[in-house]
Amino acid sequence: MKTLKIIFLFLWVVTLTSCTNNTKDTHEAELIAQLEVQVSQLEAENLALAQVKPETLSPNMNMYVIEREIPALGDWPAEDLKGASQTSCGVLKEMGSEIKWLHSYVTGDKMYCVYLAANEEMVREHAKKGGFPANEINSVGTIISPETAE
Amino acid sequence: MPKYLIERDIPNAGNLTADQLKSISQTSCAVLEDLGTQIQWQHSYVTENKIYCVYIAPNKTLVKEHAKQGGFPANLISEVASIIDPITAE
Repeated sequence: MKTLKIIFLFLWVVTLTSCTNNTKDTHEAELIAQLEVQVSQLEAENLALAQVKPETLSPNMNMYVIEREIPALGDWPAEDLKGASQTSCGVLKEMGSEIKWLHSYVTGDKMYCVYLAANEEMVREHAKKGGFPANEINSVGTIISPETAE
Repeated sequence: MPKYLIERDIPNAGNLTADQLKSISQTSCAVLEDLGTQIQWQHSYVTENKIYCVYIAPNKTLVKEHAKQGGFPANLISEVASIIDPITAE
């Protein structure tokens, strides 16, 4: 549906652009600018979804949810979270393109991290090098959402 | 509105078929509809023996109520303090 919306909006923008060339109407130009913003937003959303949907991944990458037990994690200030993120990114850079950190949910005593990686071993290696716990590593088969019910 | 991460221990969840996942999602959405607009299901990561769900809800009680009415386990419910990603390092 999102792809269709993008195509539709794109065609609309193209049509309006050609009209504007003839009329030089400023109102239409504003409308075009607004629509262009909408198109880029939808494209960004699509990109974000493509990054998390396992079926769109390269066959060499799997998605993992990693549970890291860290007591009182929920009390960490922003600068500590930034420091941990920097350590993580530093290790990831060393390890190359076969492992990627998508995002992490920070809760009271546990961090849930979502990674893409070639295999579970790489996830363990990243944790070891970064000094992070990896109490449980689970491979994601699929992601479901309210859309799955339709 | 707080966000919650729910761990649901479901043995062999990774073997659920697309039809079974659709049916579970329909049950979940039906319960959500009954519970009103304050609780929302964002998405869930289905793994071998566990499903990790991300919900927006005013409190933990409503998340528990949804699980109870839908017949889903809710082994651990944790409020999400923040979400970080590689941009957090910048």
